[in-house]
Amino acid sequence: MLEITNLSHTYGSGPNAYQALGGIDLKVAEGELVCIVGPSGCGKSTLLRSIAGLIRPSGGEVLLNGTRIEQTPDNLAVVFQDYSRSLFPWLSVGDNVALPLRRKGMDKKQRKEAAREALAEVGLENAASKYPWQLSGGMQQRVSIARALAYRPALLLMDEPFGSVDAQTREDLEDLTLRVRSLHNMTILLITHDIDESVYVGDRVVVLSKSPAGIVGDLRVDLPGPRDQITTREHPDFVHLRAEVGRLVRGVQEPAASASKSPSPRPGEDAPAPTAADAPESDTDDAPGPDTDTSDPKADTPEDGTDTPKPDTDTDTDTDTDTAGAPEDGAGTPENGTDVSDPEADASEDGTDVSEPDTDTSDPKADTPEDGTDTPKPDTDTAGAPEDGAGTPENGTDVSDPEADASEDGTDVSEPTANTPESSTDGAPEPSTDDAPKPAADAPRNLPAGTRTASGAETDGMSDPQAPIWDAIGGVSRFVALATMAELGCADELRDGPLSVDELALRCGANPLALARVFRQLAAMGIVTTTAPDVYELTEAGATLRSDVPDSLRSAVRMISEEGFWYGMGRVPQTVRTGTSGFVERYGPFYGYLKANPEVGALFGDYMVVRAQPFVEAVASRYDFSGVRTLVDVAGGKGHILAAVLKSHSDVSGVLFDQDQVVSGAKEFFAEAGLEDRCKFVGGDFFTSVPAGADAYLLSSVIHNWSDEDSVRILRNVREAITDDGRLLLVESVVPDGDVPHISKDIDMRMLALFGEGMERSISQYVELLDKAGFRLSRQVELPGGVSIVEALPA
Amino acid sequence: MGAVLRAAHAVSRLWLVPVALVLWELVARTAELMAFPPPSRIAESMYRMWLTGPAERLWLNDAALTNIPASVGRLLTGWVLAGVVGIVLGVALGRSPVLFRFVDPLIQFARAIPPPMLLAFFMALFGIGPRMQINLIAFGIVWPILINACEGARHVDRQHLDTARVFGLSRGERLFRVILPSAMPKIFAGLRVSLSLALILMVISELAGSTDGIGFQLLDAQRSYDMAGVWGTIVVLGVLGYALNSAFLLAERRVLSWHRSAKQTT
Repeated sequence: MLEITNLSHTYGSGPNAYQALGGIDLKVAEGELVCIVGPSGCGKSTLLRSIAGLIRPSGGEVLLNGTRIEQTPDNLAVVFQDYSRSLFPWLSVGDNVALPLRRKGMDKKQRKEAAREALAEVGLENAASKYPWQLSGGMQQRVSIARALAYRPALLLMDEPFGSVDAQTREDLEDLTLRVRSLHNMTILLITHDIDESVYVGDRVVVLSKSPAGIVGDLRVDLPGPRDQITTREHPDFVHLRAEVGRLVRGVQEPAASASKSPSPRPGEDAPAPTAADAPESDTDDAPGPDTDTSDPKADTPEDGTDTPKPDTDTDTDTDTDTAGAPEDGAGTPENGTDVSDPEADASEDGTDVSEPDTDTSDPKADTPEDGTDTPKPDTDTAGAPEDGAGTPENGTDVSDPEADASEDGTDVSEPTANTPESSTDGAPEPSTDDAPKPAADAPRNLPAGTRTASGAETDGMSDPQAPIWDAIGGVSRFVALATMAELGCADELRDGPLSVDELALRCGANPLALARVFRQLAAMGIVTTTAPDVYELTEAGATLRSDVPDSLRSAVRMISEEGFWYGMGRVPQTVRTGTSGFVERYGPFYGYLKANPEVGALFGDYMVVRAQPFVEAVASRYDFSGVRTLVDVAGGKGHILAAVLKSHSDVSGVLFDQDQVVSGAKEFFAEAGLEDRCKFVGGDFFTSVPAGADAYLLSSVIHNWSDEDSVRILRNVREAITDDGRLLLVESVVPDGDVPHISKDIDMRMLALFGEGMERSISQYVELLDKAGFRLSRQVELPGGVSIVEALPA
Repeated sequence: MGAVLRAAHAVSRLWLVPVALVLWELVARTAELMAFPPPSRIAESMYRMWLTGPAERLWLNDAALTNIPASVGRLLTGWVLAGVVGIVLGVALGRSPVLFRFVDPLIQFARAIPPPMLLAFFMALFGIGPRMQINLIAFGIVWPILINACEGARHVDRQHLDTARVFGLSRGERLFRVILPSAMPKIFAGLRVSLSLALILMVISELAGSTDGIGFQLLDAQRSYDMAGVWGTIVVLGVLGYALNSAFLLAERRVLSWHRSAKQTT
C-alpha cells in the first residue's frame, strides 16, 4: 500500500547542502506495522515528512495505494512526538479530535460522536470537555492517537510517538497502539529511536543508517502470541532481535552477517539474523538523479502561498525595526511605555503574548529524538536566547531578544535573532517553511564540529546542564514518597481498587493532608494514578509494592529506607573521606546488625530474594550445566539458585553450603520443592574450608561482600576443594567498562555505605582476584538484571 | 467567608490610597498653591461638574451624560475600528511574506509618525467632529495591533501548521481554528497597548477639535482658570483608563484562559 522508491532528500544547496536521505526503498503492505529505527538525527523525521507530504523530497517518489504523494493525502494521519505542540491548546480535547473530521463530510453531531468513540477507545471517554493542558503527557498523547483514529486513516504515521512520556506510560501507549491497530487493521509506520520499542510493537523493523539515511536492515519480527510487556520482552527471540537491531543501529558489523536476501527468517539460537544490504527489491538500474530534480528551496512551497519561504535577511531586519520602531509609537505619549512595562502587568497579562518565541524558527527539539524524554518547555526551546530561558522564564519571555527588552515596548517582539544568519547558509530561511529547520535538527550529530549549524549547536548547548543534578536531587524526594507508601502499606489497601486519600489515611493510620501530598508525588511517578480528585488507584508499577504479590518490592523499598541503611547512605561522604563505613562505625558489621535486629534481617532476606529473582532462573536456564555432576552452592542462603538448577538439570546433584543455622532453614525449602534427596546440606565457614571434590562451585553475590584479601581466601579454599576439571561460577553484578549507568554502580554505592570492605568489581578486577586464588577466567555470561556469571577454571 | 477575606485583602492592598489622599490634602492646604488644589476641592468641583443631576439618573447631570459617553463612545469606536483593521491586515501580512516585504516599509513609515502631528491633517481632511476624532484615534493606535497580529500570525507553531496540513484543514479552518487562536495572545497584547493609547488620543483630539467630551471640558476648565475643574477631569480620565484596562483584562482572561493555563502546565 505504501511504496517508496529511491527516496532522497537534500537540504539546501552548494557547499552547505546536507543530504538527509540517500536513496530509500521501502514497501509496506496493507495492515503491516513497520517500525523505522535509526541513530539520532539520521533523517527518520525527514522520511516521515516526505511520506506525509509535508516536504517534497529532492528525489525519488512515494506512492500511497499507487498514487504519488504530492500533498498530504486525505487518508493519512500523523501522530507527532510533541503532543503539546500538535494538539491545539485553545480547543477542548473533544474539539481537537473532531476538528479534522469536517473534511470527512460529517455534520457537527456525527463529528462529536466520532470524537467520543475515538476517545473512548483510548480510555479517555470522560476527557472530551477538558483541555489538553489539563491532561498528563501520556493522556495528551492518547488524545493525539484518538484524533488519528477518528480520522480513520489508511496509513498512520507515528513520529517518535512515545518519546516524550515516562517509561510506564510509554509501555501503556505501546500496548494501546497494538490494540487499536488490531482493532482497525490499520497500516502503521512508526518511527522511533528506541530499539526495544521497535521490536516490541513492530511486525517489521527497518533500520536506517546514519545520514544520509539508507536502509541497512529489514528484520521481520516473529514473536509468538500477543505481545506482553513482560513476557515478550524476556522471550529469547525478542532479546536476540533487539541485539540484532542494536548492532545494526550502531553500525557494528556482526561477524557472520548472512547475505540472506529475504528479510524474513526468524532468528534462531545462534544463527545470525538477516542484516544489512537487503534493501527490498531495489531497482538499481532505475535511479532517477536525485539532485537534478530539485535543489531549489522554492520547490517546497506548499500549496498555500502564505508559506512561501522568505529570505532570512528580512527576518533579521524585521526584528530590529520592530523593536526599534516601536518606542516611537509612544514617543508622543510616554504613558504607553510605562503602562506596559509596569512589572505587574508584565508578569500577568503581557506575559500572555509569549507565544513560544522560537517555535517556528528551526525548533530542533521536536526532531531530536533524545530530547524527547524531557518534556519540552517553551523556554528551553528558545534556541536564540539562552539567557532568557535561564533568568526569566515566565514574564521575560515575551521579549526573547535581550535587546528588545531595553525598548520597554508592549509590542513584544519575540523573534530570536541569534540563529537567523547562520540558518540562511543551509537554505533554511524562514520560520514557516516546512523543511527549513530540519537540517539544523537532523544534522548536528553527524557533521564535523566545525560545520555544525548554529542552531544545532545551540540545541546541544540548550539541554539544561543542571538537569542531571536536579534529577538526582529529585530522586531523593521521589524515593521518600515511595518509602512512605511501602512503610504504611498503602499498596495493600489499594489492592481492591481506587480509594480516596482520606479513606486510605484512615486505613493506614496516616495524616490525610500529608498523605495527599505524598500521593500527588506518587501519581507523578506513575506509581498510582488519579481516578478522581484525591482518589488514587495502583498502576502496574504500584502493584509491585503490594506485599501479597510474587516478587513484591515492598521489602526492597523498606530495606532501603530502613533507619540504619538510610544512616549509612547519609554517611557516604564521611565514609569516603575516612575509608571506613560510617554505618559500621555506628552499628558494627552489617550482618551483625541484621542478627541483632531480626525484623531488619527478615526485610533484608526478602530484599535479597527479590533482587535475585531476575537472575535465579536465568542462571539455571542460560548457563550450560551439561557435564556438571555435583554443584556446590557456597554461601547459598536458602539455596534458591541451587534449587532452580536442580529442577531444570536432573543429572546434577547439589550441595548447599552455608552457616549451620542458615542451612537448616534451607532444608525445609528444598523439601517443599521435592529436591531434598538430590541435595546435601553442609554447615561450615568458607574461611576455613568448603566441601571438597565437586566439579562445580557456585558463589552467588558472595565475593562482592568481601575485601580483596578475604575474597582470595575464600576462593583459595574453593581452589583446594575443586577437582582439576571443575569450574568456578561467580554470579555477580559485574561493573561494565565505560561511563555507562549500570545497576552494579548503584549497588556499589550501597555496599560502600554499609560494608567496610565489600565492593562491586569490574571484570578485570575479578581476573586479578581469580589469578591470586589459582583460577583463570574462561568467560563471562551476561544475565538479566545487570548480573553476569563469571566462569573460571583452575589454572 | 471567602468574600470577607477578599474584601480584607483588597483593603489591605488599597490602604495607601487614603493615606496619600490625606497627605495630599494636608500639603495642598498648607502650600496654598493655585495650581494644586487639595483633593477635597477637586472632589467638590467634580461633584459640581457632573453630579448635580436628579437621583433617578444616578445624580449625573447633563454635562456628565453628554461629555463622558461621547468621549468613551469615540474612544471605543476608534479602538474597534483599529482592532478590525489591524487584525485583518496584520494576519494577512503575517501569513504572506511577499505582501509583508512590500508593505512593511510603508507601515514602518506610517507608524513612526507621532499621531498628534497628524491632527492638523485630519482636521483639514474631516473637519472638526467625531469623524475626525475617530479616524485620528484609529490611525494612531492601529500599529501595535497590526504589528502584534502580524508577529503572531507569522510565528504560528510549525507543528500546529503541520498538523493542520496533515489533517487537511481547509484554508478557512486553518485561519480561524489555528492561525487566529494561535496569534490571539499577541493580538491581545497589542489591543491592550492600543486601548491606553486610544485614551490619550481621545483627549488630544478633543483638546483641539471638539465641542464636547472630557477633553473639551478640561480645556474649558483651564480657560476659566478653574484648576479644581482641570484636576477633576484628570481624575476622571485616570479612573476611565483604569476601568477600561480592568474590563479589558477581564475579557482577556476569559478569552485566553487556555493560554494562561497551558503556559502554567507545560
